[in-house]
Amino acid sequence: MNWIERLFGPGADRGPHVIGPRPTLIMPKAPRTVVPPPRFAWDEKRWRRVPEPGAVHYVGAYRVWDRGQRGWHAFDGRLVEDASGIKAYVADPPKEIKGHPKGPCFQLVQAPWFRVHWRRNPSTVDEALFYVERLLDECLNRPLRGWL
Amino acid sequence: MEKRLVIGIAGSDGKEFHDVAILPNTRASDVLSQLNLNGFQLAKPEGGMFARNDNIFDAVADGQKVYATKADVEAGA
Repeated sequence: MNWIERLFGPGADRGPHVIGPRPTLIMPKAPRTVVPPPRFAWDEKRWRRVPEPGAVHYVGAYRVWDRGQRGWHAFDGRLVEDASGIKAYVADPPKEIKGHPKGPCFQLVQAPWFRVHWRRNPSTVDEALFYVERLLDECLNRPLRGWL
Repeated sequence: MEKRLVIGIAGSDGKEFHDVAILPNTRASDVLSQLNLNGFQLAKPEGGMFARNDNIFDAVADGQKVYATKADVEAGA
């Protein structure tokens, strides 16, 4: 113990005790995680579900990347789900559909709409959507890949 | 280097997802067989389907969602 502490008490040599405002610590808030709800593929692909009497219509566009032209093609589409199954429609399919092995399965019902007839039915709307996109992809990109 | 993918089953209302990590040269058939998705095919993000022997590592981005859909759907006149 030095002479200052002996004279004035312990801690007397530490200088004046400064009192000031408490520091406020500002930190970013922890980010809130947003978990997307479960969605069907048609929903992910931004199709709309439209209830109609006796059926549910799914309306959107089949989207396919054209590897030759390096651009997206969108074909208006409609999938109709009723008690008999799922009907698939596509508007203005590419002209290459005529040379596709499945071309005869596209029936013009009302211009510009074609219906795709099934040999083996899809069990879900998602399956129908993916299948039609597959056929359109084969039409647009056939020169690069050939028919399956 | 690996890429992480989310494999969704088409038509399952998003209730069936598989988180997978793939390494370079992984084929579509590798993913399907390891997930026991017999009779399925993987849909390309840009439309169309991966062939079984397609290298999907080069075709997808890290974190991408890829759908598996049944391969037995078929159009017929």
